[in-house]
Amino acid sequence: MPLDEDPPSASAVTADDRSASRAYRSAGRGLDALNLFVANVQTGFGPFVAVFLTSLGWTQTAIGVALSVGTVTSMASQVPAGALVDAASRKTVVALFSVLAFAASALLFALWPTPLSIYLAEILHGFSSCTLGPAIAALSLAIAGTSSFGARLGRNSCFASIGNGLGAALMGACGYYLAESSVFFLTAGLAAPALASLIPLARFEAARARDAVLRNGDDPRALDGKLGKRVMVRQLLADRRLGIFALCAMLFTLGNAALLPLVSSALTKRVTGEANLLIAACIVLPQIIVAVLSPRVGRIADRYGHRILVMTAFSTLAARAFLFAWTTQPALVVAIQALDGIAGACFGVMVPLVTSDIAGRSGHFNLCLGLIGFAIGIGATISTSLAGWAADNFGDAAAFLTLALVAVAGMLLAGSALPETRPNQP
Amino acid sequence: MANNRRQLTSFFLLITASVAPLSSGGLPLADGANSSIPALVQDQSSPPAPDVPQPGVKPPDKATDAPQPPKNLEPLPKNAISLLGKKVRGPAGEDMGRVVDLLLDARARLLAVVIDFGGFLGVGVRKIAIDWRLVRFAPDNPDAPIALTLGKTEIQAAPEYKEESGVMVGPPESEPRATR
Repeated sequence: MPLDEDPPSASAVTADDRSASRAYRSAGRGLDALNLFVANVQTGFGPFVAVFLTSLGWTQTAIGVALSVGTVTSMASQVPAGALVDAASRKTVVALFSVLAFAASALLFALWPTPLSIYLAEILHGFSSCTLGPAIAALSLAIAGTSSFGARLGRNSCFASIGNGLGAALMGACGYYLAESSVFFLTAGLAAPALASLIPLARFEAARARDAVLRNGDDPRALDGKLGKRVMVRQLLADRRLGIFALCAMLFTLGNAALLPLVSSALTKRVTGEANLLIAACIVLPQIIVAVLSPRVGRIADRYGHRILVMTAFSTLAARAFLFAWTTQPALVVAIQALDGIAGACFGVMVPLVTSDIAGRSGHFNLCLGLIGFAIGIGATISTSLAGWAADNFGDAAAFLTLALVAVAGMLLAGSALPETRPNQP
Repeated sequence: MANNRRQLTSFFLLITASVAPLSSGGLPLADGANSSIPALVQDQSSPPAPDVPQPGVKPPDKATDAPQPPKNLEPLPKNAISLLGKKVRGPAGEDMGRVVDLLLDARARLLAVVIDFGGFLGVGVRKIAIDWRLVRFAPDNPDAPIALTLGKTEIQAAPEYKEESGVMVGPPESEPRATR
């Protein structure tokens, strides 16, 4: 990419335009595939780690230590990882290393389950999950632009939940019919298609960088569409909307994270026969609904505004928690889980969208996303202990009611303090 | 490739040995079958050091402190069975979860086994304590050395095992309770 190259002639530009639109389309498809496979890769971690380590004869204390190592890492690296992604000019490179780190950590789990390498795997996974999300969001923003970012995020979330659902089904089957460690081999193997889907994205990014250099001789960082000058981080942090939205994200996760584990363990107490299948249904059904709904959510967001969808997320969450407090009848529980799909679709699309509204062209989009991610992490951590405490002392129904009240509090906060963040029509 | 892997592994073992005091929670495998090797490696590599007295540095009675293997080592009986993490079967051979803990009374008699029960991919898993008298020993199956005389339906409604306020699933009412 020589800087002193002549600007292309008019005919060259039209040919370029045609190839550019093709590049856009294949980049879009690459992004679809990336979301699909990354979600797949993510499914293997999470609660299954505890089951896997138990099967190796780890004591509960040791498992707790390993899981805390992962939690602490991801909490501590949210904000720095966001800043790192902001600073990186090639987001595909960040995504590449993140996916490789996932694969490496899955292989560590499967091949060397000694304490030290499990800690290392947890650290790798914790950090790379903090860089991958923002990298995907930044690539999406670069490809879709601000005006149709909502639609793009809807599509992302659609493919991610297809990946989640398929991943859960596939890994459930693996864990059931094969050895526990096969889940991690599968996870590592799925990194390959995720890496392949980065190829068109890298091509797109390179082309954008070249264009930017040709057009205004600016540094390739302009490819984020962040041509505006970088605003001081302090200025951004002083934005009241950022704090309020972080609090909203925290409250949503606080109300949401413990619901599924709580209702699942209620199911294992009530169901005669295969509770596992019902739990699987409770996991997969919302993913299907997210896949169906989130493209629509994205379009609604682009057309009608963002605040209303934040409110929808909170109200469906509150409704779900209240309903669980009222019944844990197995068939009804699965039906109520459909609400999780609605709330999940809204929340999943709104987090990056509202964050990008707030960060604007400051050049700190991913840093802000990291801050919101940190708030979400706090919410998730408190959620399980709060719900566990309420369930132990006052019973399951009280725990569900507590979480429902948290959701109502979030709804009130969003309703009273969060302004419409969508920028005025472009 | 295999050579590489061995080097890597021994690299990990070395680090494990050197940070061992830091990660007190990190040595759960120390008496499991998997990590009998690191202990050996450590023993073989450490002896030469104390023989060479360092000038200037006062060795704090290193010669007497040097780790010696205990004199009364005995071969472990071949039929010793490890329990932690092993599968638990039900009366019909169904999967009932895994052993996560064993509970003893003050006289070191086994009271109960704690199992990890139910769930899908780790979601909805619950720990349940079950009276040791309901456990049937199946030493011929190394993967699932114990079986329960209760099935899934009989224990699934049991509350979660907690250290502070624990309950355990006892024998059915018909069996005499006074044997304890």
